[in-house]
Amino acid sequence: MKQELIMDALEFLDEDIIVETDELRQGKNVVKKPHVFKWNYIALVAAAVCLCILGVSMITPGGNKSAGPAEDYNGGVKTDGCDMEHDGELAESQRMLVRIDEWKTDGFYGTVVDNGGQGSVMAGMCIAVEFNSDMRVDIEGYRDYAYDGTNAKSCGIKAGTVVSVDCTELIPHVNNSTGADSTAVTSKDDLTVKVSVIRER
Amino acid sequence: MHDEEIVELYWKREESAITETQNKYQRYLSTIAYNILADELDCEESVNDTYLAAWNSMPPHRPTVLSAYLGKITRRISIDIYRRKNCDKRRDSQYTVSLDELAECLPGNGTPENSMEAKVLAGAINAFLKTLGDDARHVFVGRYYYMDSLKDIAGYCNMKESKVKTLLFRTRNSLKTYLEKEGFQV
Repeated sequence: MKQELIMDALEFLDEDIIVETDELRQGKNVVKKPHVFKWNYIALVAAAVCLCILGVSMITPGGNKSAGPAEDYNGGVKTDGCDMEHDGELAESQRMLVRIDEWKTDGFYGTVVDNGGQGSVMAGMCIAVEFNSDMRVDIEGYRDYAYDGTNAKSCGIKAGTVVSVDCTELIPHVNNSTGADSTAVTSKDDLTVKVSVIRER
Repeated sequence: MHDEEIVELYWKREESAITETQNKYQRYLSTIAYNILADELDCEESVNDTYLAAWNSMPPHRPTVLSAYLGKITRRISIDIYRRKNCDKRRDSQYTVSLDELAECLPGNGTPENSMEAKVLAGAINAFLKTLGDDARHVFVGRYYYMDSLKDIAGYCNMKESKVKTLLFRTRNSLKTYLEKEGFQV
């Protein structure tokens, strides 16, 4: 019988193979399987809990909603129109480049071209630029301009021109314009920037 | 007493070697014998013959692992007793079951045209076993060398009986494929 042949052949197995199994049989080299399953299960549950917490934090109000460009204000002024921690007066004037989109009586609506490296206002934002009472234009040919509180249009700088403005205050702006001609300011998140100087770009 | 000390007693031809061997390995050798013979009297005969064979073989042999050396002797003697006493009948032992399981491992139609040396086949089986993982090798040796039951194998290999069965099945198939590839035919 061929199976008897195999049984006889097994008598000549290498001793190290026999000894290896023999030690196991005698309990000298017990095979202990690590309890991996339990740790894998715990890690899985922990990961699921973390994902749930992260998901909840992302969808709840006041969580990680997309920050509008006007949320990061220097001085803590918020742009949602709901509250202001203070009047948004800046510790020191900040300079940025703004494209004049449309003139109004007390200033102009414009688009921020360059925020000058400060974090309060982001490039691309639509802002309302209001002249301070001591407003002046420091541009060649416009230096004779004097603001009287209602003659911002008389400044004479054409719409579309990019100018440098010195900001003294940031105020949340609510667009009260009902006219169809006011296209520059469209969002309640827009800012009012009070400026004291307009310079060349 | 350590194995080296017992072997030294054999070499000094001191009869206490047998007593020490009996004290340390009586139960171990009886298990191997019973797996093959399934009869108490035959087991006692096999183990006693093992002690005699050990006495006659040491010297010149000086085994490093006495349990494996004695176990090999007991296995051979037990198989010889089994064949001598069971020419026309089958015993209800683990050896009988193991024989049935190994029936398909050697390729061929069962009618040997050429005799084959067991040592030549042993060389191939040794090489085959070294290709196996630890679990498969331990299970194979435990089943077909020591003739342990599936339950015992599952116990010392720390696995379920069903896994032992599956491992044995796959290993036998792999052995058959290996032997075919090596050109063994019976």
